[in-house]
Amino acid sequence: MAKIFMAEDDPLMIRMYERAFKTSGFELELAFDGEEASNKLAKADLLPTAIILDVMMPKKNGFDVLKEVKQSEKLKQIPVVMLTNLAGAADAKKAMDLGAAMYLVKSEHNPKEILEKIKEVLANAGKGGATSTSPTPTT
Amino acid sequence: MELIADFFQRFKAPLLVFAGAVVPQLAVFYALRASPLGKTALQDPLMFFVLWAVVVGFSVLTAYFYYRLYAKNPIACLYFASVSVFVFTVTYVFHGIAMLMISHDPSPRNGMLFDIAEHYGLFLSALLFVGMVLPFRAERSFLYQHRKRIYLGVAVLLGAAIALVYASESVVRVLYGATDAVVVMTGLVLIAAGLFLAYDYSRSRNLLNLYLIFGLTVMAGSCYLPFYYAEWDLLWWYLHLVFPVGYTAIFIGMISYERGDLALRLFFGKVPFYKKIGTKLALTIFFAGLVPLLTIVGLMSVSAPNVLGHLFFGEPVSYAVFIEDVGSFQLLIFRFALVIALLFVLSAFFSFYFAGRLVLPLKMLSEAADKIARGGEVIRVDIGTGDEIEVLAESFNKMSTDLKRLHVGMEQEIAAKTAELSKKVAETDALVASRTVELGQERARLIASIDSIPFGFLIANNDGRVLLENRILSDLFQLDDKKVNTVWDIGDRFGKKFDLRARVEECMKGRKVCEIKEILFGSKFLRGIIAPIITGDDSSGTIGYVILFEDITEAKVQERSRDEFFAVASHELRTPLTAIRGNTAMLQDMYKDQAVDADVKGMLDDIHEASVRLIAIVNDFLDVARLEQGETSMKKTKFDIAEPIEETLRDMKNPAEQKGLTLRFNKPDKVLEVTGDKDRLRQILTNLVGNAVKFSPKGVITVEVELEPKQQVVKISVRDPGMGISPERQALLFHKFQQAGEQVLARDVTQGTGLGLYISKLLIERMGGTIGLAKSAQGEGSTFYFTLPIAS
Repeated sequence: MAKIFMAEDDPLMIRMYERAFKTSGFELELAFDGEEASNKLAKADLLPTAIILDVMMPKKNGFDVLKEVKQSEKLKQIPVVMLTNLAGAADAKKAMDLGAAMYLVKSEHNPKEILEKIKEVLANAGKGGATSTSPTPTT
Repeated sequence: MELIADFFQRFKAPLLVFAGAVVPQLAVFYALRASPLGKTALQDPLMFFVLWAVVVGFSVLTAYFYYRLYAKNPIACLYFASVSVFVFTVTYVFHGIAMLMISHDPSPRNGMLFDIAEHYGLFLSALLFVGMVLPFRAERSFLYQHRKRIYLGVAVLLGAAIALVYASESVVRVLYGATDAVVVMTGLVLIAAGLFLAYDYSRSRNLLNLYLIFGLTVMAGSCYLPFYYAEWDLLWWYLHLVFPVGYTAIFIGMISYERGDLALRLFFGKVPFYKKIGTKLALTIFFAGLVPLLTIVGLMSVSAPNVLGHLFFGEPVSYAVFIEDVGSFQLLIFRFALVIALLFVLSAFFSFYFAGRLVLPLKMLSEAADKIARGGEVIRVDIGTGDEIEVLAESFNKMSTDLKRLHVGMEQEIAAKTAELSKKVAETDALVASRTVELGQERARLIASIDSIPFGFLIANNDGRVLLENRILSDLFQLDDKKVNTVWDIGDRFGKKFDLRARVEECMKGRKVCEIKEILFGSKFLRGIIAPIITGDDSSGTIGYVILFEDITEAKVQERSRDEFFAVASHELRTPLTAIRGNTAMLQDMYKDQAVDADVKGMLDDIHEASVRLIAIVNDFLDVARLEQGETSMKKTKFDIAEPIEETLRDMKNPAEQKGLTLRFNKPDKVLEVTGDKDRLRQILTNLVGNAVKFSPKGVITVEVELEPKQQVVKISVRDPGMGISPERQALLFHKFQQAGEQVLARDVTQGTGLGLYISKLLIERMGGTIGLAKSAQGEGSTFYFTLPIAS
């Protein structure tokens, strides 16, 4: 079973995505703030197939965690999906520049769609590529 | 003593002239008396007629010139001179006639007539000379008006007198008896005239008088007659010498007279050359006249070797021997010498005449030209030669006059300009004074102004020396008021974070205003502006620069909190909405078997839709806020305009078809590339097509693209067959919260926030395009358009 590592501080979100991932067959490992995410990833024996990071988290924000992941020899091959409610184009660009595989705005997608996107990322990672979906706010 | 000095001062010149006349005269007289000549009666008829002709010619000319001179310049003395010489001429002619009569018939009566004509002629002439000095100037107009009649009257009277003398034997005898007395009287009259002239000269300094005095004094030598009457031969020689010399002096005086140039002009042409050579002419005539005398003396010294000895040493000489010894050969040589002397006089005269007519005019012209060249003086050259030289002189005079006019014009202009200049200088002085006061005020105003502005302000020269700074700047950088600060001192305060010097040099090099958006200075954020002070239109020179520092710490803090607000708002608002939306979606999706009740299902659907719409509203609000504050960045790329249109229409196809609408894209034949943010463009298209779908019950919605080459833009139109927009609502389009076609208070809340067109407008303007309503009529649908710049 593929393991997904998710850093998310909001219990509402955690519970929602747990429910969604439970039905999809992914094993979900959680961290509740940035620091915890960093520590857990650094110590992990069994590496996750994908990492999902929130941006606005206590102690350490998602971008910093992303930076660490991409600087770590052990982790840098793992695709990172940024899942956040920051909808600014500048934030999306920053994430992609730091090496994120995808930038998703939570409010724009139902959990089911998020799962589809993760699967897409994993499929692309297998091919060695990366996709980005920029946030496209609609009226 | 003073009286004597004054007298001498007043009569110095006449006295000198008198002495100059008398002393040589006495010398000549006593030389003659001592010489054999004075005791020799040399009455040769040929010699007489030669001398006679010279005297007549001379006196005729003199009378004529004086008359013409008077006609030009009516001074009575000139007229009297003319009449006097005329009377003398007539009597002297009669004298010559008498000589002819003697040759024919040497009777005593003819001899008497001969003497009468000579002596009385001189006497009358001398009397008339006195008239010259009488104060007739007041009556000159009468004299002038009747000058010809008077002349005629004189001639008639003279003729009558001569006729009377000739006819009457007794008159001849009476007159002859007084001939010698008349000569003496002549001398006395001439002395009297000389005294008058001297007196006149002492008052009027008339140069003519001096010549007259000289001439009259010489002629007055006839006064000696009674004293030496016994030595008749001596007197004959003497009298025949003094009268021609006297007349010559008078003649020279005439031509040297200040107005005498008229007389000369009449004869020589209008050349007052005597001014240059008058003295030479006089001397030449004088010496030429001496030649015959010297020749005779020389001849006599040859024939009688003891003559010179007698002349200088008083040796006795036999006069009788002389006359008898004068042989025909000597007489021939004597006559020959006399003719040579006359020729000499004539040649001297003609050389001056031609010089006057040819050489002198040219000389005068060249001198006049020199004068003009030197001083801009006005020169007129009067040449009456009647030939090409006169024409030349006239041209010269015209030129001189023109030059004069020009010169005068220039002088006037210079004077005017000078006056203008002094006026200007005075005005400038006044202006400078008032400007100095103004400048002081201006400076005070400037300092007050720069102190009051809320920025740190300084003016520096090219070397970086701070010339002027305001309080805020000195406080900001804690400048020492007591010393001259430089821009580099201020630069040092920034440490390594900001290189002020480098920026200043960069701005000065580029000669343009530079802005440094953000400088961290301690705990403050500053914005800097460096502006070179450029002088002159060619921006060639800079005299320094102005630096402004604005404390933007406060603004920076506000900006940060705004950023914070956006982050928090988007995150904190969206997260709960996301939870609602996500969970309801999962309920609808994963638990639809459990929610069998239609109401439960419906409620779930409504919750989901409400959350989606709420998310959209939040997105719109955040979008507007970001766009209004310029926070949104555009990713401008080049792309084919057809791509986003096709993508949008694909996305909108389902909702349109659900309403029974058809979407159509009239795709252009060729690729039209534009510049813009493709995602944002899709957002605009979605908005416009979405609105068209929203407000059209059925029919076809058409999207068209056209190239507008003039404006270098591509125009995209969206045409719907909807209800149309009333004119009063059209004005409200593209404004916040306005949805045309709906009452403000009767909003259809299902139709969104009303921010769509406003956001589209902000977006398209950020991309360099325009947006608008092309046309709309109620019931006939609307056409919206927007433009985008063609990709370069």
